[in-house]
Amino acid sequence: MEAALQNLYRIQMIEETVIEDSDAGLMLRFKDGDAEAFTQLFARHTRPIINFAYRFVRNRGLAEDLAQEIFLRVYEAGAGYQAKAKFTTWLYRIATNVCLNEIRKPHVRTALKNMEDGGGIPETEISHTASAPVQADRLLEQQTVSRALKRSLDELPEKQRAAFILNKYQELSYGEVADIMKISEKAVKSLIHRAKETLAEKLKPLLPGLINI
Amino acid sequence: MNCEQVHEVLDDFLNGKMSGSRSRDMRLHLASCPACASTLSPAERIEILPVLDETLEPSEDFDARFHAELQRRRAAMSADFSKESRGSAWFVWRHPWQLTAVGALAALLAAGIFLRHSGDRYGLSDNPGEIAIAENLNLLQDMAVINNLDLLENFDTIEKMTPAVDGSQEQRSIE
Repeated sequence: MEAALQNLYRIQMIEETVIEDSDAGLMLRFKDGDAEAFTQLFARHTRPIINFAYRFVRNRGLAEDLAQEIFLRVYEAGAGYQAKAKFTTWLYRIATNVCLNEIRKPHVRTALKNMEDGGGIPETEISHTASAPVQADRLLEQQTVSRALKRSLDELPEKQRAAFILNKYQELSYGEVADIMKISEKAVKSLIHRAKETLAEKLKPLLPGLINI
Repeated sequence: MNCEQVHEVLDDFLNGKMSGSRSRDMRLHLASCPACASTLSPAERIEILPVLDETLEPSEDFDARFHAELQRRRAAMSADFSKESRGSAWFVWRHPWQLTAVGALAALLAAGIFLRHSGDRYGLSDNPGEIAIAENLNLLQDMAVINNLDLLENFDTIEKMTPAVDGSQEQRSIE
């Protein structure tokens, strides 16, 4: 059983490596002038990058604008791309910088604060396509969790927030997060630990019910 | 992923050693399995939250908007480039005398450097310092004599002492 499990994980790891390698390969093809390669990369990473930006700003329009800016920077940096690190490390380093720069802007902070004070995210901006298979009658509970999580995430210091989002939402390992944020793996572990402690404290009333969702 | 598989790798998952689809599968299982989720501490249950959060699908026109923006930026970049090129041409056309002056100055500078280096090549030197040294060469040779003046002044004394060192004086001292 254990051997079968290990085989399954090995196959999954190989598949992920192939995707990673093909990402770098596509970027190198794009560097050589193959515009179609960029189109493929764009199609592959659009959804994760929009959602990544959304975790920072919680606004669809702004998240898509940020995603657009991230891909434009990837396009412009294509000529100087070197496949030294994993493509996703490079991509998320650009994405993290763009998102953190955005939320540091005073007018963006004010707008996000006003949006929060105004009762959270407008319903029209939410796509109710959660990753977990939830039933319709659980939707309200899920929205409650999302709103509470949003408020709590917004209150985290920006490094804790970035590390938490990269690790928990984008499914990147501590090592990858460390490479993206240019800090040690130990520092990432510490940032995420503190983020989890803070979130657990803030979301204490919701956590017992989570196992029934 | 079943409960047994989850328990096998739960520690790795909680210690951040998992990534990608394996990590996502773990979260999905923990979110839908009360038995497995109940083994987690309150802080560890935070791990479940991301899969319960909303995810966005890109707007239908996102692709088109991106490519439109890309075209706009590329057009702006090429416009900037051609503007710079036009700017250079305009300067040449508009300020011909300044360019002539700069050219003449550069030519003078180049000629000066050339003449100086060609002089070196043929052993010619216009360094007045070297001539001054050549003229004073005799004086420099005399300096050796001046430095040994003490010895020369005592030469007579040495000469006078020389007979005293010969055999007659030795005989006198024996006597």
